[in-house]
Amino acid sequence: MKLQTARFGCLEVPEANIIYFPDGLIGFERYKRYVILSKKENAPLRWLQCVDEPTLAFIIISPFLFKNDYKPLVEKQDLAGLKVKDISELEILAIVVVPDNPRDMVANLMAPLLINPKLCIAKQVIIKDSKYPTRYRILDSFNEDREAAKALSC
Amino acid sequence: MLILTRKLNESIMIGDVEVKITSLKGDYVKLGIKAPREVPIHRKEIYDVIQKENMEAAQTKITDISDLSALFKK
Repeated sequence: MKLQTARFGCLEVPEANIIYFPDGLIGFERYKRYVILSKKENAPLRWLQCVDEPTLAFIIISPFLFKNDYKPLVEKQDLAGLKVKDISELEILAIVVVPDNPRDMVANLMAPLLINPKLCIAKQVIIKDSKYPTRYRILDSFNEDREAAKALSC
Repeated sequence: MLILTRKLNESIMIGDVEVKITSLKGDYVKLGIKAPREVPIHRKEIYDVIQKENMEAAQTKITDISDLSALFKK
């Protein structure tokens, strides 16, 4: 199908790639259909582009890239809503805010996006566990990891 | 805003959602909510914070994120 976007022009996207958020995203309840766009296969940052509103897109990231012990406690009814029994069946992504200085970019670990990749249905959930903030600094932990890796290699 | 007076253990129905006063202690009111699974229920202050974050994320002026990917290079 043809997809109109404000940032990337008109794209051809397979209809099978559309991810359906029955509740929309929080604050954007009207918009329910999105696709994930990425120029490169393994790019850390990708776009979650709304299918029905060309200007609406979010930068997203896998939280495990900078917080490998991320383990959100997802409520049973949310798992059931996504038609899975266990969180391991879901893909987890976090929405990124990039300020003027991109080194200060943050990810929302309190409200991750959970995607059932088989059925292409998804939901933004709010994690009750208070240890995960809405503004987790992505690159801090990345640098720590890098320093840890350096220390190991010495 | 519609304002109703309820006693302990009394309920109101909002559509098919039941909201019941289950305990009263000083400044605290405990509510029991019986709703279909698909109805999202959130504390408003948390919902507002997430909504604000989503709005800010959606307002990004960035169009090309490949430069940012370089920040992740080890």
